[in-house]
Amino acid sequence: MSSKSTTLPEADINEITVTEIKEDKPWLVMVWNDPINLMNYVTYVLQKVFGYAEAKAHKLMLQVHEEGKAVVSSGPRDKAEIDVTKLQHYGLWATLQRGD
Amino acid sequence: MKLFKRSKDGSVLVRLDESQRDVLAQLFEQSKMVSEVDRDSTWRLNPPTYEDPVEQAEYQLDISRNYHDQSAVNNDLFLSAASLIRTAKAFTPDEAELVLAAINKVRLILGTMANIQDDGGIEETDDERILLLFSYYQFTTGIISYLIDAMY
Repeated sequence: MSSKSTTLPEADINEITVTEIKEDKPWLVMVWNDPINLMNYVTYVLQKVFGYAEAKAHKLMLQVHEEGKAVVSSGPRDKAEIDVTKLQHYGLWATLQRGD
Repeated sequence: MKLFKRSKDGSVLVRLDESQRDVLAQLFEQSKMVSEVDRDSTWRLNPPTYEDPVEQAEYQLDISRNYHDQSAVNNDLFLSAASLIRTAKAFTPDEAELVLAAINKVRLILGTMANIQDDGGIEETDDERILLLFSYYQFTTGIISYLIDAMY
């Protein structure tokens, strides 16, 4: 291993730090309210896709209904994309966004 | 009488009569045709995955390179559901999931075409086309409610 050290310019260090922080943030899977999907259908799908207990799925469904949207899962980008695809297969209005 | 009943082995007995089966099968087949030509009525079947437009564009490009066409997936779903609903005396659990998703997608199309409001109804109208769409929408709402009940 070389003992020679190099020093990155300050601008580069800042850029790397920002990138790493962005990559570490979990991605959020959102379900949006829609007048067509039935409440018991949304609850059923959340149970089926995520294995949630009925009480948790029902609570999330109510949050979607009353607040217009809810974060139903979060995690690495690849997993979140799969979750959105599953929800959309059932016809739920699901999207993905970067966590704050 | 309940239109679907779950058996102890997990299958779902189908108690639809011939006319109900025929209407549902035709709705599946027509939904397939509509989804091929009418994007305005079918946008709920293919909503954007990313809220950020740039990320959505990248994702769309990635999907078209590496994966399947979502509209082809929906077409297969509608055709499979039409075939099942015409003849099946009982659904396996996987078949019941397929039919459930297909009925909901039919509702998404009918509801979009009839312009369903937040209260689940439609604006007052004399337009017979809208009223017909809404009657089919209500029919599928009843069917899907029975199926969800049976699957719990």
